[in-house]
Amino acid sequence: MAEVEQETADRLDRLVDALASSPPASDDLRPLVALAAELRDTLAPAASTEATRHRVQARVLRRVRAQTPAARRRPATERRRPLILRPAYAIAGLAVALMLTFSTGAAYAAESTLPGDTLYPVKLGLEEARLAFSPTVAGDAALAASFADRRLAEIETLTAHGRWRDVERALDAYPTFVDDLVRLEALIADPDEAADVEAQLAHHLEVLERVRSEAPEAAQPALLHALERAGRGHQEVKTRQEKDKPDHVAPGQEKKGTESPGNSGD
Amino acid sequence: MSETPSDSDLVARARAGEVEAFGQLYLRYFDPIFRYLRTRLADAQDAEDMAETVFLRAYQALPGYRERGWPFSAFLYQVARNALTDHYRQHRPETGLTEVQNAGTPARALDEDLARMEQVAGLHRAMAQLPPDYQEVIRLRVLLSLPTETTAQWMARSEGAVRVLLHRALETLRKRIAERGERLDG
Repeated sequence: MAEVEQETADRLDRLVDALASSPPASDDLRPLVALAAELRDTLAPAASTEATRHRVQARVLRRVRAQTPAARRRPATERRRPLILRPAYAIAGLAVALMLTFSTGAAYAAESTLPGDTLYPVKLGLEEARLAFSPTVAGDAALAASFADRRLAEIETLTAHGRWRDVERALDAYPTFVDDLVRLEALIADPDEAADVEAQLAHHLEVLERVRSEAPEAAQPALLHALERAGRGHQEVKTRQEKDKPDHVAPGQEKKGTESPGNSGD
Repeated sequence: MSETPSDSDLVARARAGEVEAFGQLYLRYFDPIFRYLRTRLADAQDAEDMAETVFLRAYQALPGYRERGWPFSAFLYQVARNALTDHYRQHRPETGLTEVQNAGTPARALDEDLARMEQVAGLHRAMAQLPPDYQEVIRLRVLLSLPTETTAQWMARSEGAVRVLLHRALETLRKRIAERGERLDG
């Protein structure tokens, strides 16, 4: 019985492989082959587009680069290699493609779009291009701060318009930008920058709490997730600031000369 | 003439911090992973964001990845499944294929006549009632047109088991459709 089933399954498997060339199916398998053809014709997703592939690639590689040991070691002020020697040809190619594909007017129009708008992916693509051409990590950090604020502003605007499905979409994307901001802040390790990022994220938390009070039930999980990530980022920056203070004392380490009288622990 | 590097070579180089090697792996596998995500997520933007998450998580998990008969594409597929599980946990229950609108061809769907749309909806409903591994083998073998060998690697089964699974899945689906009186062309 099992052998017969395996044999039938093997025949069906070959027929499914040959669907595109529409071979004549044997009678017993004809209904299943027809069903497979119908499913493929109806439900098969299209191949990814070149634009999608490049857009995601730029985002992935940017984040991957920020995590490599080399990136962590690179001082904030160090210049990267000249563009022509940089391996990120794909990112630069994306920028050029965007400039060639979209007129200045369209690019300008895209800047004011919101998640869910047709030109919104262009806005994100332009942001990626700006990052690709930023010559220093400090420049990346400044852009990341700006983009995180943009995402927050988009959430606020969509909330005001009651576009809750798009608010959810914006909230889903938001944590990525917070993560980038926090990671880049860690790379440049500048106390002033850290203070700015901490204040920025504190503001984000306030805004997200306000949005949460207005949002419907369906948007609450995404909001909680965004709040959690912004809160975690805020705490991470704050903790780093504390550690970086000159008089910071690690847990378990004795602080010299600061004991209060009568508080020596004896 | 330079030879195309194997996945193993690229993984080793990516592990050593060579981002461009990971970029090559990305180009090799973005399409099947993205298309798989499109069979599971109704919204194209969601699938794009999820693809980004999958490749980033894969990069972060590279130090723990050991090939040993488990190809890199199967590793990516597992990362994608985990990411989808997290996504559904945060958002809403798994939709299966029921709520996935004609993922790759929205424009065509708009042009379908009512009878055709009914038929499509019937397929979605019937698919959603199948056991998860039946749905999965149909996604991989039929919707994504993956070879049996790759499907077997991704699903961690033998090729023979995948063939039997596909046969049973299509047979069950056909019966469900017949019971519901859904019409199929062909």
